[in-house]
Amino acid sequence: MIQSPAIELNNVSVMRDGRALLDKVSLSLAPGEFTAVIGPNGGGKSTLLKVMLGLIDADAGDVRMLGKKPSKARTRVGYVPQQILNQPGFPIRVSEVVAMGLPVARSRGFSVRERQADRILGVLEEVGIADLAERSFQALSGGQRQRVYIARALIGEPEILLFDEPTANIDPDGTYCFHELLERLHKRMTMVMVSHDFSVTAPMVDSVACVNSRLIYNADSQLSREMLALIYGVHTDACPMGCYLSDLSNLVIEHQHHVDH
Amino acid sequence: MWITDLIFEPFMQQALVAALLVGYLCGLIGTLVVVKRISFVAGGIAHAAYGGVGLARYFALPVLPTTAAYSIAMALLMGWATRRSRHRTEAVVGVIWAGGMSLGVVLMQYSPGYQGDLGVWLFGSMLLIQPNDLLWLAALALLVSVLFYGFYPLLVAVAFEEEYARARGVATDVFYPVLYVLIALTVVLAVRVVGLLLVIALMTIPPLLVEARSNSLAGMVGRSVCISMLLCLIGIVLAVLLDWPPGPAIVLPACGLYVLERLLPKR
Repeated sequence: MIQSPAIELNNVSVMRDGRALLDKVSLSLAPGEFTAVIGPNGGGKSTLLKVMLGLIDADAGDVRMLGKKPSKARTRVGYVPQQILNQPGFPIRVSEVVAMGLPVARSRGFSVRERQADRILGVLEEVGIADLAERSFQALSGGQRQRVYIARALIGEPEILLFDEPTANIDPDGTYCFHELLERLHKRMTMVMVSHDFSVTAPMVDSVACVNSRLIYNADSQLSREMLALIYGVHTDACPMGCYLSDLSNLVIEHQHHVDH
Repeated sequence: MWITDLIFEPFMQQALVAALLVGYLCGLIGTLVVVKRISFVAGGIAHAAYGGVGLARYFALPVLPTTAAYSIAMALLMGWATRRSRHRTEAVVGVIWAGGMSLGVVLMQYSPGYQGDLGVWLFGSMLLIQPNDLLWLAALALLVSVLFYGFYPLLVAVAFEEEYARARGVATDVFYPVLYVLIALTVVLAVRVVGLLLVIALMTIPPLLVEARSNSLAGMVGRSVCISMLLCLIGIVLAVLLDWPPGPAIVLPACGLYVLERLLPKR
């Protein structure tokens, strides 16, 4: 039996001020697939994620998350945003941040219900920070905050998990812990990760998508010449076929060296 | 006459109840103003409200309803305009702020008859407080409390991270218009106690005093409300004893506390 895709985009275009942020993007990801989305700044990576979340409507094309429109699949999609988005200094406990991931209609009043509190502790335990439940969120390190965000995304038991630059502003220790966490989550759900950090994504992703307004998808973690050309405009002769994401930065430097001489 | 004698005077009792209710409202609404960093918008609404006072005087309309309607209209306009041009928020607020104040001043000048002391609108006056004001203040305090308790988790989600809340299906577009309308109503009802010019201080100083010492939004609101109510009581007593307008009598101790808080070591 053919499995229906977890995420499906058909000829999706998003326009802003006459410029195409996404230009006829098509993508189909199978359930359980882990995909890295890479590309230059302003290339449309975050826009792609927001289209999947239903935060931005596509001007053309069709988006399906678990066979439904993004707005109808929200409870089944988890989202781990960039850390810079929240309000600095906002007085909030870790458990309250995680509770935001619970279904909206079930929350009332100043404190979470007992059953919800158990679930919050459960996901915090899963990400290894159960002891921080009652701590102030603002007092945590970057890596700990990232775990809180992941716990918030996991508490809704999502079938799809979307990450937006998850390792930005995290120290190497935090990145290593995040890496371990990703390995545990891998295969449990469909995951899409927008990232600049090739070293984090390369070893475990199943596929890679390069976005620079247009999108090129590879069903393995290797970069094609077309992908490099799309991302950096690098001459395709400079990159041997079959290079891995983690090798990309070296290849670009080598290519630059070659051009300089 | 000493303060203990004055406490039995009806006008003083009304002033104290009004001060407590204004303190409660400003402490609660002000917390949302501070955590969402929209003090400038709240200041704009408060100052623009003077246009409503001018309109009421010029057309000989009842001041409170006219100012409330005008302020709500300005608050919604401010909300709409700032959402449409996010990069020009401060400029849009500045235009509505200055426009409202100017309209008020000009209309007051052309209003027929004696207009009394403009300072009572700008800095408050206990003599202006009517029994009806207390009812309106109590009704608004009840409404704000019910909204705050009933929608607390959603409020926290929107205030903390609007985009995530929207991704979870929260109707975030409703948040700002409702908050702006509540700010406008609080401003208008607080005018007799603290005045249009100084209400913004009462909205922002108590939450700022407790922000760094709070672990949750509910905790911050509780502390902010207590401090705000206490400042209002102190201000009313000072106003009676020193024959000051109540606005400055409330705001000056608040500013003193703020300076003190900045000098104290943080947690």
